[in-house]
Amino acid sequence: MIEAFNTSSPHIKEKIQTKHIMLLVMIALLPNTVFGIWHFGLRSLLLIVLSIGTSVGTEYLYEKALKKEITISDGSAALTGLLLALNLPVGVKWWIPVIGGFVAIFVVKQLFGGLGQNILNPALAAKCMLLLFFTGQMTNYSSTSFSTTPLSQLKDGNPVEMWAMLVGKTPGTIGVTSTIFVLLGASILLAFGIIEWKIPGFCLLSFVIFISIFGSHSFDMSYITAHLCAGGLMLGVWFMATDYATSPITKRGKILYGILLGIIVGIFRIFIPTYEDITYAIIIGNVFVPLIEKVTIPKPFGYKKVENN
Amino acid sequence: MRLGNFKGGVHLDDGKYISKDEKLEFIKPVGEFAFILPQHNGNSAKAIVNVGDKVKKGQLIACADENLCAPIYSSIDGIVEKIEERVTPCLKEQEAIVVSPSDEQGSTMLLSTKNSIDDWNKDEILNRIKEAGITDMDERDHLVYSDLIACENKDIKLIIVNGAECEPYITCDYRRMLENSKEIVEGLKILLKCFPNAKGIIGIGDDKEDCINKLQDIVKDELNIHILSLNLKYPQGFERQLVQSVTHKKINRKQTPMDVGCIILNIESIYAIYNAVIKGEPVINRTITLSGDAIANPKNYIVPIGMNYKDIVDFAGGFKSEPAKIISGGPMMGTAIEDLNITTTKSSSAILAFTSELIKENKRTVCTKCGRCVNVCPINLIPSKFVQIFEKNKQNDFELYNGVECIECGCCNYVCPSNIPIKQMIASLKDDIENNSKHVDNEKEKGEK
Repeated sequence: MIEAFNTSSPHIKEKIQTKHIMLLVMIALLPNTVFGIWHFGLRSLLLIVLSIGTSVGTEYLYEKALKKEITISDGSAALTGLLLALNLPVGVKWWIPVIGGFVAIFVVKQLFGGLGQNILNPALAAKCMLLLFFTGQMTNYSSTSFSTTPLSQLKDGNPVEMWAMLVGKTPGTIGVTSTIFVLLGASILLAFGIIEWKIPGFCLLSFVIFISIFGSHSFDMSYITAHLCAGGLMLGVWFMATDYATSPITKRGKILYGILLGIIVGIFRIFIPTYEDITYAIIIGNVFVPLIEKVTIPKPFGYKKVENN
Repeated sequence: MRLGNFKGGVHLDDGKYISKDEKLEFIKPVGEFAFILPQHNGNSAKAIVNVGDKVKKGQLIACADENLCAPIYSSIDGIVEKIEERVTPCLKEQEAIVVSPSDEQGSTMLLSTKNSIDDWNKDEILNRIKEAGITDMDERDHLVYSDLIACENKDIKLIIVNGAECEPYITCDYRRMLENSKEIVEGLKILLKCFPNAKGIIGIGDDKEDCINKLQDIVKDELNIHILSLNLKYPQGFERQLVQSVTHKKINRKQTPMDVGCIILNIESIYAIYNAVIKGEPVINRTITLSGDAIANPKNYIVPIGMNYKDIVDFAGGFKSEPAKIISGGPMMGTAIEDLNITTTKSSSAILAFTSELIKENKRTVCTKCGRCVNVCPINLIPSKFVQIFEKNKQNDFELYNGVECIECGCCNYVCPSNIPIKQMIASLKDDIENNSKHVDNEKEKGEK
């Protein structure tokens, strides 16, 4: 019995599916998640579980209520929940990740059209909302044994401990402190072809050039490295700026977007007194993505302007 | 040797190891034979035999006067039973001369030959190519003669032989190149006589190292024939990608290779040219790959044209397990067929049978804008945009994103992790645009009257 007769070519397919991609991203996030839990304590695990649970639950209830197909098994809601939790300080109340997860999935993702259709990164947009409404909790890192984050120390002009920043034994949100583990995760993503180097590469490059020109220490290597490791820059650049739905799909668009992000983070770092530079930069960048895509439409192979007969 | 390459394309799961190691085997004619009359993309040939006539192998049985028509020769000794419709490998029903083979097959009726190739001049060679009914021997079905005539006023610098064979599982060109290497080079030399300013290049996929070495050895004393190794990605064998790999020039959809001074011919066509000129044999056989994990004896066969697919598979030993899908042609561009009641034509290249292990259909989900399709598109388009255009019916954006340039290779379908039928969506949008523009033209005509 020939079952698969009435399909058209191509008849073969690559084996990787969307859910494998989401799973690989979560595996790549595992090193710094585990480190975050070890460094900040079990409360961070509670926040992660609450965030993922709310995100997945919100998506399930939304789709069930609107009688749509249930898509929680593709892993995208869980990934959003994990990324949101990794961007929260460990001292927030338990209902912060719950509200955040709900807003991320219901408002930022589903109301805008679901997977692939949202304009803003759900985890970061939810974080922006939390920063606005619960500023005190979201900027309070004092429940750990230190009181100021390396980023705030850098901005105040105080010295920082480089090695601690690389490994991650500093204050910060749950998932951003350890540069080494974030880079380990990023190399997993690059090795499997899940992300391309263009956006992170050009973002970091333009950021380094920007702070070298406009920063207080010119091309000082330790200053530059400290800035690269501080705040959520590495996690944001490798895991959230490269989010498929909210970054440009065109090749030249990716380069333009990376440069734009690098400059915006640079402006925030040097001139604006906030510690959430990459969060705001990515959200601002997201808004420009449709425009960036429109101006970087690639020229087709062998295309010449066709003269009118 | 430099590696001919082009941007985009995918490295596919190969599958060639299944059928590549056995020598070509000739199939004894058995069963009902049907000679499809339109075996090329021009006017149909007309039968010149009647029901009840006896025909011999190599006898002319259908022809026409115009240049755009390929004569058809019988590939067997037999009797004409009827003139009826039969199914082609593209699942169309076309008129055919149905012949039943005699029990004993005699020798082939040959066209006239000469002592050596030097006795042939250009017009005689082109005439023989037309007389023998040589076509592209692939789905495009162009007549080689009409392609060559169209090059009369163009400055042809390169004759490219397409030995890429980028579709997985198909290995018939590979076996031809390995077993008939001298004939292929001779065929190319015959063609080069018609274009004295041209050089010949045989482009071979880089997975076929033994062919590259063998052919390089044969042409090492030839001044104007070279071998080029091609990066074996799909769709390397497509016209525009082949021209880019060999000449670095990019042609758009309105141009043909001869606009940049190239002629492209397939391995089977070059071999047919050799046969027609040197041996006087018209096109009556071709190689076909039988492969896939459901075929009992996967290998390449020399099949007399007109044989029914069912008889070919039976001769080859049938299926060793129940096939879930049978494909006529390659897995990327071929047609899925329901039963084997199909007639071999000059463009048949493969019969592939797969069990459900290799052919698994996954569920279609939404586009995540992952961008994998953008990386593989050989025409530099953004296939994911067309998914949105199709689903939201935004016809104007189709032109903005240059959808009409799509060559429908299917690379985007292959890599899409959400299993979206992107190629089919673009083809449907193209059809809509064409129908709309026809409608607009008709309205304009009415308005002008």
